[in-house]
Amino acid sequence: MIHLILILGLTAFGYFMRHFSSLEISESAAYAMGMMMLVGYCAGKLVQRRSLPAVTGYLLAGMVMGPFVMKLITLRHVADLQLINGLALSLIALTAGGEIRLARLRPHLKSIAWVLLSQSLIMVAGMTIGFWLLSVWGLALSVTTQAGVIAAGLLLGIVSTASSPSTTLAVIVEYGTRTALTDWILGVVMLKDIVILFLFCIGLNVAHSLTSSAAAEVVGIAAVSIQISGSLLAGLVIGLIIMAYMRHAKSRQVVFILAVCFFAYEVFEPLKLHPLLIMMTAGFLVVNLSREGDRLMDHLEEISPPVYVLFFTLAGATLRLPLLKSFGLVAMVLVILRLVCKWGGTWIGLRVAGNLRRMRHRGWTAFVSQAGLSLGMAIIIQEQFPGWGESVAMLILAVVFINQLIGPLTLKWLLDRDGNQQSQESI
Amino acid sequence: MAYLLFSGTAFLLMGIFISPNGLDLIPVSVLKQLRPLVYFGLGWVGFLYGFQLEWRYLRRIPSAWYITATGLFLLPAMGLLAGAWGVAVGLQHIQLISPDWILPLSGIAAILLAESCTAFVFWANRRYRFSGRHYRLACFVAAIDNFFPISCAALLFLFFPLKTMGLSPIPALMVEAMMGVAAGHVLHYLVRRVSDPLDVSTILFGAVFTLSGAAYLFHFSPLFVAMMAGLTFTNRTRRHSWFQQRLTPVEKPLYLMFMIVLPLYGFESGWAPLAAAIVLVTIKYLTKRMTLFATRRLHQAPGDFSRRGAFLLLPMSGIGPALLLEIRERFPAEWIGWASAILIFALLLGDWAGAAGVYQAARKKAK
Repeated sequence: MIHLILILGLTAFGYFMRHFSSLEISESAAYAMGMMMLVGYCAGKLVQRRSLPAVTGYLLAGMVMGPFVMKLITLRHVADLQLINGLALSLIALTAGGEIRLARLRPHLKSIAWVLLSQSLIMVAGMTIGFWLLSVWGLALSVTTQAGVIAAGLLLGIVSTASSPSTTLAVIVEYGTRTALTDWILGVVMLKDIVILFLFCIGLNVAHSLTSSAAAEVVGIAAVSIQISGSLLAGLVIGLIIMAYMRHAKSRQVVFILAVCFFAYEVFEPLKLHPLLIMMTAGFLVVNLSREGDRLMDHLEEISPPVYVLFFTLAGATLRLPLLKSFGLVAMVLVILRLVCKWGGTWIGLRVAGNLRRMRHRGWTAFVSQAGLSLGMAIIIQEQFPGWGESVAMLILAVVFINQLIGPLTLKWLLDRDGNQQSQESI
Repeated sequence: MAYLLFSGTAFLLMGIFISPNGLDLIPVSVLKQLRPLVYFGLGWVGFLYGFQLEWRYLRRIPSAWYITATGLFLLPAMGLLAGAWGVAVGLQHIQLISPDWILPLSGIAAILLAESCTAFVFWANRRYRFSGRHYRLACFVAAIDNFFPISCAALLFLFFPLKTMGLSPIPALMVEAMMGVAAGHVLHYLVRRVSDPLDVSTILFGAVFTLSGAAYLFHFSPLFVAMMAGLTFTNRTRRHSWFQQRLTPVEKPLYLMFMIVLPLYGFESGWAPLAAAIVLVTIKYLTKRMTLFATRRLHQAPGDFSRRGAFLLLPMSGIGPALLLEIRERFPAEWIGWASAILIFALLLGDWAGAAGVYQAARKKAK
């Protein structure tokens, strides 16, 4: 009750600030940050009482306060907070990398590889066929040619393969317990990002050759390989720096970690390297190759709650609700198709791998959420295919919107169910 | 090295190194995005400062010490105002600065340079094993005198036209203070039953961000408003030490952040600000020493402490850079580059001269 009252009080305060004659709330990003943290925190607590993941509360709070609903957070705020967003993303990626313990992951490597392969293949094939069928029914937006439909479907399929590591991690951290299942989920989600970067690059080349558009420079596989290996190398260097600092300097470790995350994002992002991959590699190395791993994870745990609240509330504010009006029906069809493909991919992958039997039918629920990487790929599609790229990008944003809202729920359901089953087995 | 790179000094030098006056490593776009962090820092520093003003503790301190502390800020501030005025007039005569800058530069110099660094006093006392009433007084003075520049900043901000409210400065100051007091009460209510430190930190961070940002929107001083909130909160909560344990570790990194960020916006380099800083630091030393000598009967301790005390109180804390960043955000005038340069040089000189002076004093004492 108290959280609901607080949300109402803060919203009233926000309304007062917005409508107060000459106050230009866009000028103060600090104010927006504070409001997002407080309202997001209260909304998280409120939904937790309903046995929902707090991430859903943060996203909903951001969406309602955001520039498309109540406008308490403006688009300028969202732009001004990119640095904070980058810092939060680096911290989440460092935590995600640190969560992967090689010793615990080793038994699942086979199933991870198979699930990755089968999910990618089935998703690409399924979404291409699905989009082609939509075009037959006249729902394929502004894509007019057959080649364009196949190119768009292919890219849509690759983008749909992605899951959101940050959302997955946030729900797992909230859940508290680390099990074989959480290790497997994190392994799949993290490695999937690397696979998708390569797939997307191949997809772009194929789409360009299909549509014979020379509008933009085609990203080469060599360039992607350099980006990925560069990111892994940068991650290695940062991991070594963190290890050295934590071994020798006993004070201000939290400040040091924050500074590293901040600089990693600011330095490597303009170089076209992937901050997410860099920090995941660094976290993975510190935890698996040094004795400082546990201390690093303790420090990250200390600073993570405000970071999660801010990051996901801001992510909620960027969800474009009006898109649902324009693309709602097609987006819903694609979301359902994506879920079916996820189920099929996971089922086949686990069946071939021959382990995690109990996850065959419900393992797919861990991979529904979608965020950063998908949005980045949507922007590239928009830039590279001036004819139909924009409408496909908007469609992707609408699909991400829905997936990002239902993803945490399905993952929480899976973790609860697995937890219950394990406790029953132990009894 | 410990003398040359005393904590904040190292961070200040690092800031200079990467600033536009150094290697120019930080792009302007990043500086713009640093603003929310700076505002959070201002709010948090103000809140923590207010949090330390717990009445139950403060009332145990003899009133003579309050008089000494007030004198140790006001007299050096007046000396610095006169000295800075003279220096600024000289600089204007040789056409280095515009005549309009004389008043703001002298005022800012007086407010920012007159206070002392608590961390330095504690560091010196620990390092040289200084003990006794005089040193406790120095700690108290260094800790309490931040109140004056923060309050001066609150007054300074009120000269900015308050279009939003149509209030004159005094009622506006009341509103500014009341905003902080109300926020302190609300915050107390919010965290009253929350025991998880992670939840508490989320609420406090969020509240300080909101307060600091709202103060900015109302053309108030975030430092002052947050200080009032901290002051109210600390006197309402029953878990003072519990909060202190969790909140204080955040304070020092923020001061260090201010030390790094201040030079990043660029400052006037050259001999003139350096010379001005040398003059002002000398004035600060002399006025602190004179005030300590003049108030020696109020110290309630035997002996003349004025020389050692003046050196102990010579370095400046991170509140100066914090205030200057706050002023820069509100009054982006051309003279800010000069004010930054004088403050940066004075910070470096103050740290080095203070460390050297205290070292000499400790050697003398040992002999």
